[in-house]
Amino acid sequence: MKKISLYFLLLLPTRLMAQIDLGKYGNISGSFESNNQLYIRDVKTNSVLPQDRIGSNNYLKADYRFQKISMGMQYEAYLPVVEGYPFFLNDAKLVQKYFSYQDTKFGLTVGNFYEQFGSGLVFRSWENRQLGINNAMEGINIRISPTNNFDLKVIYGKQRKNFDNSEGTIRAIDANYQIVKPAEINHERSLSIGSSFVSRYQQYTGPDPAFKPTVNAFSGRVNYADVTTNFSAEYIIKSKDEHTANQQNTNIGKALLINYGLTKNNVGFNLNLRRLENMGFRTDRNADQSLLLINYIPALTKQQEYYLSNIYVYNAQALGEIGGQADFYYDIPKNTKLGGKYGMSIAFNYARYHALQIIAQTPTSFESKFLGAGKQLYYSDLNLNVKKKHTAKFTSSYLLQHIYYNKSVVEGGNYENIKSTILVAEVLYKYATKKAFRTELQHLFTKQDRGNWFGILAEWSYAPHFSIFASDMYNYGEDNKQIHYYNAGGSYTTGPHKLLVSYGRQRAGLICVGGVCRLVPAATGLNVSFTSTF
Amino acid sequence: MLSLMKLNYKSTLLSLALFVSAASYSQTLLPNIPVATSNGLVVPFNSIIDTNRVTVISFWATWCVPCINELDALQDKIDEGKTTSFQLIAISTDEARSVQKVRPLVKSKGWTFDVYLDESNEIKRAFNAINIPYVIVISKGKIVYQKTGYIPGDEDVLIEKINQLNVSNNP
Repeated sequence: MKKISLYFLLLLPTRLMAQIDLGKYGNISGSFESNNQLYIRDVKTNSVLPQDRIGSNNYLKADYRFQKISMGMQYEAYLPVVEGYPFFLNDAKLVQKYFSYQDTKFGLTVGNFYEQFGSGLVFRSWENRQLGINNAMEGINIRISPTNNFDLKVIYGKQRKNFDNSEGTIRAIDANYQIVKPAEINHERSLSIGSSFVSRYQQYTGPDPAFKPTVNAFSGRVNYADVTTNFSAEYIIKSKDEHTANQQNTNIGKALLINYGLTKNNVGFNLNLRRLENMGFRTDRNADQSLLLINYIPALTKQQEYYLSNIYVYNAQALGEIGGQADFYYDIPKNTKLGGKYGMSIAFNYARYHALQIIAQTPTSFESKFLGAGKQLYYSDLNLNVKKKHTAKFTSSYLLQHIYYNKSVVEGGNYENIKSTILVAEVLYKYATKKAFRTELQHLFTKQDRGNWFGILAEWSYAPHFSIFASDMYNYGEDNKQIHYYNAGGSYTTGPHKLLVSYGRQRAGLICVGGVCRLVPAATGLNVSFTSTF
Repeated sequence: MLSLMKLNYKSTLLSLALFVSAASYSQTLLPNIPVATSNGLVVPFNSIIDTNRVTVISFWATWCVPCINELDALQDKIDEGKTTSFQLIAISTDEARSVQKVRPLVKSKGWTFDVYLDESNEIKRAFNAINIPYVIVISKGKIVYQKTGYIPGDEDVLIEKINQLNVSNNP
């Protein structure tokens, strides 16, 4: 074992350009990611300097693969942790390891694994380093496919909790049956049904003899697709699950997710509807924030790319919400009067989420109309994006966005509701084969919260290696509180390796994914990150 | 009897060695993980690779603007016919939050290459891609080039690589 480790360590720095090919003995591949911040004092942002002025999050993942067998590990080092992540992650350990055998009809993984049933609304274990989420399972994962249209998954284990495992245990099963299986890619109709059962057990030592230490969730789903249409629906029901994050609510958990899509020629339409009622589900009754999530409840809204569009971002309300989003895509074809030589892309999105329509309420439960929307609006978002390539060298993009943001609900507390309009213009000028200049102008209009913002970004790039940028987000909407969030930096990329260095201010804000948020504190300083795949 | 057993033992070892050796030569460096088409067909990842051509795999997502810019740029190159033959595969890493947008976006774009779904990000993890866009070039069953991120002009570098590989593969 020591020899193998030594061999691996010796090979690592010399063979970083590609997978390490061991010939007939298989191959080793992996990745390394390092995010580092040097904090400096900045009275303007009111940022609080951490005790240690350096934060460093590091991840090394390595996999060995030989035919149907694979095994690997993940080593993580927080030296100490970057501000905004859980403070107790100040350690370095080999945290994940696995062995896996995968054949067409049978698969077995022992150790740490990620898994998802259906859309993830009943079960999903996943990793998001930006958000500080890693709820990988540690246990056993068996997949059986006895026929070519039936799959069965069985999992048993505990969830990762920082450098440890959860106290509670998860046992779950998922079955999928393909009633109509397409014989060819993208050309025929398909119909499948599926069902999952997820059970969580955590010992209860409290005084209530009627309290059940086990929580069960059951889901059923159907998926249909043909050349132009697709439809899917999933329904989940979860037994009583009083816990900290749902304020000991005793309602039975229910969720309904419906999706309908229609496509033809250069047009695409999609409608996504969802109702949630007490669907928070964790391996530990006392867990909060991003810890020990069993299911995945993302905000079904448009994910934004621009800085100012990411200030007021919705977070799904697992305790109760009803709403949906519609997307419409249209590409005006190339070589037409309106599309010109290169065509034009138009994308429209509208999302709207309300409180449930409550009929009766007690401090720990409520009764609601299943398909009724309450009067309280949580969030609405209207987006219109247009992208046009004018010539071989010149492309422009535009965004118009209007947001209604119920800050009190999304962030907690008591705030004024926010209405804002955002305008963005982006221009790309590729003035030589590998050289380009890109600029963004952004403006956010609002009379609430911190008032108006203006944003500008300029980026010069020389493919395939270099890119430098400078940006500023200027919050000028409040008297005597105007502040520039400036940033400048550059990156060097060579194949799968990237080094990014930047210096500037980071505004305080929430990063929300999967129904949970992480508060990123205001900070000023130097950021150095390196990612590499081998 | 003992010598017969020894002979059997040796021949078994030999057979095993031959089997391992033959299996090793036929193996590729690619993970054999199921991948789904947008209409629900699940196929082994290895089966979607055209071994007679250079294959470019692009990991992307509907919310990733540089990813879409790169795929648009590659589609333009294909439309212009300025490249030698290659297979382009786009693997969407959209998860539950946005996977439903893949089909309408792809259809509206009129992309002519195949698009697959990696909703649980199992394939992305197996290739150890940290960020997207992430591009892998496969030739003769092996990864010959990998690239993270997209800078305008990267598509020209990629087409140069493909042309070079096609020349060296078909001298």
